[in-house]
Amino acid sequence: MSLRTFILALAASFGVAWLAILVIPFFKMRDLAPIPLPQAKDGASVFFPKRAGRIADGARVYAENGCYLCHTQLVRPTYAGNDLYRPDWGGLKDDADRGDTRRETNAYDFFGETFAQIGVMREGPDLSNIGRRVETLYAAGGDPAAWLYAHLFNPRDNPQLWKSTCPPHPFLFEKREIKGSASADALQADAGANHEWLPDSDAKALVSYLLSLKKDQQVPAALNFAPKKTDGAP
Amino acid sequence: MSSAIPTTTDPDAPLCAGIDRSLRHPVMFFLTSGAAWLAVALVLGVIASAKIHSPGLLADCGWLSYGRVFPAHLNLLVYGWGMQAAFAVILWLMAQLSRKPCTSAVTILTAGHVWNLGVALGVVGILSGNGTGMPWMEFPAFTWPVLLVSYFAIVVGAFIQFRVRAAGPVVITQWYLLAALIWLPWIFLTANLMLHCMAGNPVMAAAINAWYKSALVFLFFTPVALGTAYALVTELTGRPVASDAMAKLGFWSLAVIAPWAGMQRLAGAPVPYFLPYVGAAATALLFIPVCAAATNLLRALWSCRETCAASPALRFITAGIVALVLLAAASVLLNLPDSTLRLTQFSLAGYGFDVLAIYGFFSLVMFGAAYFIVPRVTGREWLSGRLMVMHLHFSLYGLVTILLVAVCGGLEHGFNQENWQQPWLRAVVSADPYAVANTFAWCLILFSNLFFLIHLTLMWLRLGLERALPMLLAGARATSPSSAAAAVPLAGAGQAATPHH
Amino acid sequence: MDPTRDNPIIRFTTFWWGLGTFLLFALLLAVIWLFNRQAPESLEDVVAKARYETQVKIAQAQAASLSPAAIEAAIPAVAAQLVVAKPAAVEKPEQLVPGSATALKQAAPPVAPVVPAPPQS
Repeated sequence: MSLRTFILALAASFGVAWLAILVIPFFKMRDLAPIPLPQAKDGASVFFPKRAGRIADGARVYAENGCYLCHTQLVRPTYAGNDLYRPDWGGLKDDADRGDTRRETNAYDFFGETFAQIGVMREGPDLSNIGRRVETLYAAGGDPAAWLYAHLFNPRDNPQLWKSTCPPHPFLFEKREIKGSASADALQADAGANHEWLPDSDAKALVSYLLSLKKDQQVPAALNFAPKKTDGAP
Repeated sequence: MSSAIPTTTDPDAPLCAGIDRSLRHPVMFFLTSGAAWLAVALVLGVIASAKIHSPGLLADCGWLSYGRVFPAHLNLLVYGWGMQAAFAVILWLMAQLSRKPCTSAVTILTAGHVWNLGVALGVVGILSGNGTGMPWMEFPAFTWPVLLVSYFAIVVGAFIQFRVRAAGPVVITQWYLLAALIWLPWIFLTANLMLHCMAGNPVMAAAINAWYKSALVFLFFTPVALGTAYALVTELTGRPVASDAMAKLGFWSLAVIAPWAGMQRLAGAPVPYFLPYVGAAATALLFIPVCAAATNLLRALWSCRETCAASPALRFITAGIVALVLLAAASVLLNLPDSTLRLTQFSLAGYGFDVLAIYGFFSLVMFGAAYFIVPRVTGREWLSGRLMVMHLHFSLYGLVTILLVAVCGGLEHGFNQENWQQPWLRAVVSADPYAVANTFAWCLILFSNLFFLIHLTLMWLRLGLERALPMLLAGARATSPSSAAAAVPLAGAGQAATPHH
Repeated sequence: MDPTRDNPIIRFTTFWWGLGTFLLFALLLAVIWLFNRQAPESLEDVVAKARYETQVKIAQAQAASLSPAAIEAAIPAVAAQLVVAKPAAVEKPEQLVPGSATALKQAAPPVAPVVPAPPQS
């Protein structure tokens, strides 16, 4: 076999896969057609899961600190995993206003990010709806941002998470002397006499990003794979 | 060189000695700097593994937080050690098999230093909190062109050597190495261009990253190690490849199947439905090329068991091939779509599988190659068989532990994750003992490589034994001169095909 | 070394062929990208279209009920009316600000005009 034949054969065997699973899906998925979400009053609108918060900044901090190594952001459909059965991963099983809001992740859910942090391993829970969980469950009645700052500072300070393997991130906070009265953002954690722990800009961006993770909006019929209510699904 | 070397009647011997001399600096550079990066990678690996079960360890240091130390460890293992070991082996084997000396040692050494600089900047980038957050591509974005250009400078010489090679049949090793040389820039450029330079759907970007990870393992590290194994097994056992047809089948089935593998990590993600399942099927089908190559090699090794037991290189290569077979079994077992894939997708199993591929198969074969090549290029023999044995045994203890953690721990972890009626903390707690076992395994592997590093440094400092007879294991006495002393050319190259026996 | 197999020319051409082989799929990707360079319309743009339409509708409705020309023409007429309808100034003692110049002038005793005395005989 000559060198030229060899390279051509290699290019053919590699190229077919390259086209079929990389290039064509990549370019087709750039042009996802928006799905119309008919609304009676304003005329046709589209399904647009826009998130409020510092998404680009926060995603950068999330990536730089390796959160994706232990947390996923993928709620799999039931044929691929049991994520949807959990009461608070894909949404809330018993949301106060809308009932069962759980749904699987769809292709529009990562709008605003350049790289979907699907995740490598699940040491910690899935974070697709962490914003919803913190606001409704963990920090109910309190400040969700404060709960997240406390969690990032040292996860095991929370008695319910005493076995958590999430690493402490004190390097995202700075210790400052209290001048006048304590700041509203200050953590409960002890900082020594007359000092307080304050989140730095990276921590604020990250918490803003995490609180924006609420992927439980209503989806148009084309994306709605939930079983009909009459089936009595869990 | 010592005196009283029985001379060989092979006319090519002076040529091969010349080739060895021309390659001394490039090969030793890549092996020693690769081994140094390996040591750093292993230390970081121990720290990272310890942080899973003891998160409070060294918590104040931002540079050592798990999210930074683990990617640093993995990227160093791949780009610092893995690639450089591959370069050393590719340069030496391609030169020897083409019967051409290396004429661009200075270019290669410069490019090697630039590669090291790129890796160093990359690691500092990750640890200081500037990683990209893309698994196996966490080096900051500016490093990939640096690595790419130095790669071209390092390997283009080997490509040219193949083209102008001495007349004669081409052995399977050359096809494997040539293919690996060509596949790597295809894979590397595709992934880096699409992820850093082109905007697309974020989920598809994650899919391409998953493909890159698998392609790097099966289309670069695997062919390099297989080619090396073929060369050294035929050389040291003195027998030709058992079945040429099976060797070709192994190569071409790898070329056809492996580019489809990798996206099974995105099962259930909002990508085109067929992508993850084609990836899972391709990963499982990889048992075909693996078994073809492994059968060929193990048959040759089995027929020369005594040589195998006595030669350090062959012992490492045998261990590596066994690890490869286990890798093939794991790729079938862990990727069954309706049963195990959903369990292993996000569990400890994925990491164990990667380690088995990079350390278990690739690195063990590279160690074997190092033990074979270094005496030839330095003209000295290794100092102590015991150091080599310690290296091998402790590596194997660590690897077996990691394999058990990956299979048993991974499945149990996955099972507990899927058990949606239990609170999440239960799945976390179930993974703890396996994480401890992982840390212990990495400590064993680090310990084993201390012996390798010490031994290799001594050889690099030209403190090896000046003797004609090779360092053998298991109490065997060497009666025939070592290849280093006699510079016997590599079997199979430039010779007519020998009849099977 | 057989010069027909190994000479500097073959090495030179092989170098470039090698580089070309390595870059093969990168070049293919670049070609494909050239045909797809236009950034796709993002969801933000699609949703923005509806907003722009609404904005246009509002502007049209406003322009229909109140034309700018009519507003311009009406301003002088209304201004003249306002000037005419301006109420006369009323001065009441309680409207004076204590301490102002007007208040002080009122408080001071009136200065009688100096009338020259008639000449006496």
